[in-house]
Amino acid sequence: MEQKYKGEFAEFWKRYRRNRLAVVGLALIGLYVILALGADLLYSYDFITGNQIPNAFSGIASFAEVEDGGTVRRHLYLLGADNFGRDVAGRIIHGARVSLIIGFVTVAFAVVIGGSLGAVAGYYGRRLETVIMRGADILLAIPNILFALAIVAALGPSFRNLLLAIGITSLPVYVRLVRASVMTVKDQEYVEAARAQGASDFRIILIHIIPNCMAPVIVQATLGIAQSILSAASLSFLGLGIQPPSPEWGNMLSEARSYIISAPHTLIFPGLAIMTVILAYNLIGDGLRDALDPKLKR
Amino acid sequence: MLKYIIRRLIHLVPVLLGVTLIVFTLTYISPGNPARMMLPQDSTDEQVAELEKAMGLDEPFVMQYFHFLFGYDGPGDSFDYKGLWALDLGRSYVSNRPVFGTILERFPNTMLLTFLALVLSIVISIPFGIISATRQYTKTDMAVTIAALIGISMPAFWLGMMLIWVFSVNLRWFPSLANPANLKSIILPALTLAAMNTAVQTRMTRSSMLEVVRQDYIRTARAKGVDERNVIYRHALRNALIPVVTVIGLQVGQLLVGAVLTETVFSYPGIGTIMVDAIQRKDTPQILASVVFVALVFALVNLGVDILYAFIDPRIKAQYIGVVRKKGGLLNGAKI
Repeated sequence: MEQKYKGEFAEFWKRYRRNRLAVVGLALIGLYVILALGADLLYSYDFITGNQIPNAFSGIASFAEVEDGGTVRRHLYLLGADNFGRDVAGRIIHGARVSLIIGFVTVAFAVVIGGSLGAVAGYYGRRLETVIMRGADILLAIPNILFALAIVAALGPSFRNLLLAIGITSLPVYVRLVRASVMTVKDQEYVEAARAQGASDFRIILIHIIPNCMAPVIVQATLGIAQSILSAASLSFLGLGIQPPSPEWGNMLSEARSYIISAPHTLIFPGLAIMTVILAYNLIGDGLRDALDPKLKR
Repeated sequence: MLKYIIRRLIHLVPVLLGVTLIVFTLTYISPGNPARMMLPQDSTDEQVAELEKAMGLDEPFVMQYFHFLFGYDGPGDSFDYKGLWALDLGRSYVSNRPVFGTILERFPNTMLLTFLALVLSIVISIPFGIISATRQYTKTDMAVTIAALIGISMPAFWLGMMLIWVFSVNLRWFPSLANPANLKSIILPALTLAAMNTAVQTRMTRSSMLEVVRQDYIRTARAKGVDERNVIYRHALRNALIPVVTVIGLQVGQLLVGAVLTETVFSYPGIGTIMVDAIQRKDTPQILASVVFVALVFALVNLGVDILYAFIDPRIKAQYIGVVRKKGGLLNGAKI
């Protein structure tokens, strides 16, 4: 069994690897994950959230005296400093942590809840399906970012509400996706065989059906992470997401907006960070779609 | 045909009711008391309670939702409104103007921006998609593909600011603030708004062209001696454009929503700026009205696009009989 699993993964990797851009995407995300994990080693959180007013708008790759944890030291501002003299590179790296968490948590939430609802709707059909699918239709009828905006505006801007807003708005896609997959799988012989052996509905759905409808969900989830990160940055840009001085790419851009003439570097780099992360997830999503598509197999 | 339209309209009613219920519920559970916010800081609890009563805020949830839909007639006259069905949800807490007055006044501006962006995206994407497909695996194709990939990954608000930085701050070609009276000032916001759609449509045109040129009838056309130009433009393009047109239709609604952020970046007086201002000032009636308004227009635009398709392509009607069409189209983020 284990041998077979290894074989499947090797097969998958062989096909994924063929798409060079997808490999680049994976490498980029790997880099961001490493930076996000090591953020505290590179720059302490207190340092990148604390003001260093005398160094405001220091240029790219400039050195300056900074106060860090009670001592004064020389510091390299790799990507310059913002309006409070905070290190832009440090804030981007700490912001990566926030963005990656948002992307992962919201999509995990949406996949688990939306996927369960979709599986139940697809498996049982009838009334339950109608109720669940009408609910999903209503959620889908409100444009994502607008809905997230309304939720955060109503509940107040906080990290938890941001996660909730983006999680809820990404949910209905997975309901539809899993339902559609379950409906194609549920009448296959192996499901019937499991039922004949007396397996419970729960077991059939979890062990026999779900693993066979994962491919489209995995692809959508990868693209969904990109979408979530973008939504979070957009909401923070509007002042409805993560609040400064906490570092987040969207709120960095929102603050930098006023200094577009005097300090364009504070505007360029956080935007590049958002763009590369979203690009990377899109590339991975495309690669996964090709690698998991049975039509393209060999 | 009429039956199809009626069927679609009937399906729309519960969805729209659901949308209004959700938006209303969100406002209802939102912390902060509007009556207290409207009164001076040192008001007593009795004064707040009195104002709440006048505004109908002391009534149960269901009644308030009912008022929201069909109007409210309170003890005084100052807080009366006719309800959502009559596009009247009372006055803004901040400006004291009817909320839908402001929205309807600014909506044409948003439509203008959306329309320009739509035209731009079509004019740019289709030629580039064709060029890219007909020169598959050349440097041109690579450049277009990479540009499109970057296009779908770029946050619109950042692109807008970068355009301002390059074209307003450094080159001084365009103003950084946009207003509908000056068409030149809308070019940057329209480009910003169009970017994502242009990228999506370019990718769609390319892949659809590549699919079509592999078909047998294209081989037949070539075999019977049709020159390459005619093969591409008369035989391939016509068929390749069908899915592209579908995507363009689905994107109209997305453009409308994307306008919210783009307008904010360029301080363009449209629905988006109304909404964001209202949210920042906690102007509940204005938030409620603008969110519901955009959601309704979004639903109606998508419905209109669908009905239009049923006219153009009978296959689409057959496909959707008895099935409600879903918003946003392809997996909602429109990643193709």
